[in-house]
Amino acid sequence: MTTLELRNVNKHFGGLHVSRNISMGIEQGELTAIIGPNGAGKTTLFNQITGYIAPDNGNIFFDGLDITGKDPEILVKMGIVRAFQVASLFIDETVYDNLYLAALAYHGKNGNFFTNRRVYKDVAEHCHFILEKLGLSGKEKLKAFELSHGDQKVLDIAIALTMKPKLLLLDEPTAGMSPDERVKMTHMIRNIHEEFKLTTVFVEHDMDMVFGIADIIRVLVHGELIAEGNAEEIQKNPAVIDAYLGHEVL
Amino acid sequence: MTFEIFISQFFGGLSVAMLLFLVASGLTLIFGVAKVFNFAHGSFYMLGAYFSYQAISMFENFWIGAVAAALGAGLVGMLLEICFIRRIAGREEEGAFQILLTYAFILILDDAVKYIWGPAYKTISKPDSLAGSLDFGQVTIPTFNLFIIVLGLVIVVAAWYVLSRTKTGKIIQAASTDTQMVGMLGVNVSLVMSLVFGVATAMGGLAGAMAAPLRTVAPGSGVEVIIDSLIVVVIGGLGNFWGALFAALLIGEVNAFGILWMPQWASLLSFAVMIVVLIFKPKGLFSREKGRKKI
Amino acid sequence: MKTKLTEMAPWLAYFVIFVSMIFAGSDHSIHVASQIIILGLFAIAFNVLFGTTGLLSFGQAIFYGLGAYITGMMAKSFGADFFLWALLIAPVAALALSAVLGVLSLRLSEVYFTMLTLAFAQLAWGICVKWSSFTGGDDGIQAIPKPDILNMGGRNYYIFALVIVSICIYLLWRLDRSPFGSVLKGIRQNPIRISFIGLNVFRHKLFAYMISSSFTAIAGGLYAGIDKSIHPDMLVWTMSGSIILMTILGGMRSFFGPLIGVAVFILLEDVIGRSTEYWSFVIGIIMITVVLLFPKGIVGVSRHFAGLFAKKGGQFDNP
Repeated sequence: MTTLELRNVNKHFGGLHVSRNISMGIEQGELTAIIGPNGAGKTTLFNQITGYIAPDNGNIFFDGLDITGKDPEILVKMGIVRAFQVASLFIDETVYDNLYLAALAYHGKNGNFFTNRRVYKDVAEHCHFILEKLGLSGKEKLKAFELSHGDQKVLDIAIALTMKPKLLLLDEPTAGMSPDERVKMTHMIRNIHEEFKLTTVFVEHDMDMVFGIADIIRVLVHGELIAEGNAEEIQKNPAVIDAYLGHEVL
Repeated sequence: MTFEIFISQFFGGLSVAMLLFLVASGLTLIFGVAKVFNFAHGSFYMLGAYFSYQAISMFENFWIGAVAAALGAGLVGMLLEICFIRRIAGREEEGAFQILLTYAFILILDDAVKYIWGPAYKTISKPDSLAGSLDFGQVTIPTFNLFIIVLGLVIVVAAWYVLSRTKTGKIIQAASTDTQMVGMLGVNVSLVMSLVFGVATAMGGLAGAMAAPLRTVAPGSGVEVIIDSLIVVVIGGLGNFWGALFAALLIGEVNAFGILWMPQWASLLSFAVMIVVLIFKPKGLFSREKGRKKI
Repeated sequence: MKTKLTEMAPWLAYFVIFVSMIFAGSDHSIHVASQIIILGLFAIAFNVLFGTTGLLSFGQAIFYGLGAYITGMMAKSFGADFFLWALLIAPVAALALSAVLGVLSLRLSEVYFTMLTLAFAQLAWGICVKWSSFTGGDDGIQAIPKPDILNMGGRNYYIFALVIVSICIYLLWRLDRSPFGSVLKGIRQNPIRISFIGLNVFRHKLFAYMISSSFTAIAGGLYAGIDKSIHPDMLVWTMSGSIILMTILGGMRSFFGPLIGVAVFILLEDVIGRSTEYWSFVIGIIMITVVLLFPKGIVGVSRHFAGLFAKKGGQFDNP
């Protein structure tokens, strides 16, 4: 079953054509990597899928429903959740409170203005479950700004997982990380994907990771989807070789 | 309404619009380049009027007064930028603190003016050379109003030319977008910011001096001016030069004709215009933003 | 247990100070204390917007004035009994007005929002001054009647105001610790993330604005009873400015900070303000000092010193 489908999605920024007629279908439970040189329009594509910006034309379907142009908060409720290239956190709050706020939102408690926010047992359990799953236990009392860069990225993903997504989008999960942290992150993403049977799409520059764990790799160049397939197919695809290495190598 | 009244109100409105534009464009200039919202911008208008009053009472020459107004307001503006505004740059919630800091300037400048020149109203008369009026058949237009319109136009064109067609303008624009990089290229960015601040506040001071013969000089007049220029800037779009010009013309004319239509409420008409614009174009009439911005 | 105690300590201090004023105060100090609690409610309500949600409104005086004029005009036209009813109607009216103004102004970002709130408040002030047949114009409204029981000296009215203010502050305190309060703090720190955990930023801001405004109207209504007179100055932009100053003077990151700021400011005004005609100048200097040197306010500075002290103590404890 197709979880996410894009049909002829186009987006311009001024004179720049950042999404060119992109069509793709992402199957349920698939772990997809989107790769491409800088400026290929990967983050812009994420922004359109998650409702941060609307496509100029074309349609986006999620579980068969047309979600084109819907606002992020509605898409999150439907199950499309993202993590950011630069971790997007509540920087003055503790790790626990970052997750707690997300869990409050998930459980629909955000409108309660008279109850002490600490009383919700289910919300607290939800947070502890996520803390443990992502190896953040023991760090819950640290403020978000006190975390290492790698842990901030983990917390960003933890916030996303707190929303119990059906479709998880990760924008460069290992950006700026040390090699050790990269390996950990790679394992973490694979574990999350397998354990929750989660349809996952990630943008990444670390090719070891991409070719190591992705079921399907999709290549975006100058806003155009030039290739899709498994690791082997992508490695042999002349268009991809051309885009990455240029003509002279062939 | 006779044709004569129509024409004379129209030109009256036009001269008010030009003065308003001088203040409002200073406000947009500072906001566009230095990313500072100068809440006290109207107070430089007031300062200009007082400096010009002082110079005229010493030298008995309107033009020396105008120069004193522009120079004095510009210098005070630069001084405040260097001593205070610069110090809160880069702070968390900088925007709010800028507004509060410049709000403090309004209070201090109002009281300082009261202390130095007293609470009573001051008047400045038009320069003799422009005191008359020009006759066009049945219509007469005060020369001074025409002069203000021309002066306003000259400054508009000059400012637009400097900002968009000269090297200085390119440096100023670059300094606001790529501060660090421009600094690396050997431009003294903080000096550029201070100068921009100085020029913008000098424009406000000049407007104050020019408006003084049409209105009165009084402590607290800066507040009315800042509110009017805010309305202009909101209608035109913050940081939008031509938008501010159009909005100033709109507000100037609405006030000029509103005073005939409903004298008591004319001063509130600008608010009504602003609210109507906001309902239909929340980002101002000339906002360049296309598509939907979500947050 | 420890957290409970630190949470309760400010409340304890609040009641000790303001209840003791009932018995200890002279007429003058009762009058000052009434001003402090009423403006304190105004400032704490304002800080729901500023310190919590990160929205700087420069026009909250509009709701303060609205509350005062509704109360004053109702009591004046329909009689003393309506004074109490007016205190209920004022927040409802503020809710409606803030919904309209909020929809217009909250769509815009930071500076625009601030300036629009200022423009709306100035518009209201202009109407208030010019429509003298309805509002009394520059003179405002005098000799506002109150129920007899509140009329015997300033003390009874102070007790009445203290009860209402305390209930309001308690409600706002609950809000501060509630899930809704957490969302508002989240909006201040990272509005984009808030929409990506499935919450509508605009709607939460609007509710915060409406809640803050209706409590401000209650404060305005209570103020109408202190001197039995109200005037357009309650809506003028420097009123909003003073509330902002008091809030940051006390500490905008602390729930009770604004109240402390109000108390310090009113006491200063009582001492200095009466002896100089250049009180605005003094306010300006205080504002610059606070903004440049103590942006976290009195509470922030004392927390800093308390922190230093605690660290030293810790060293002694663990040799």
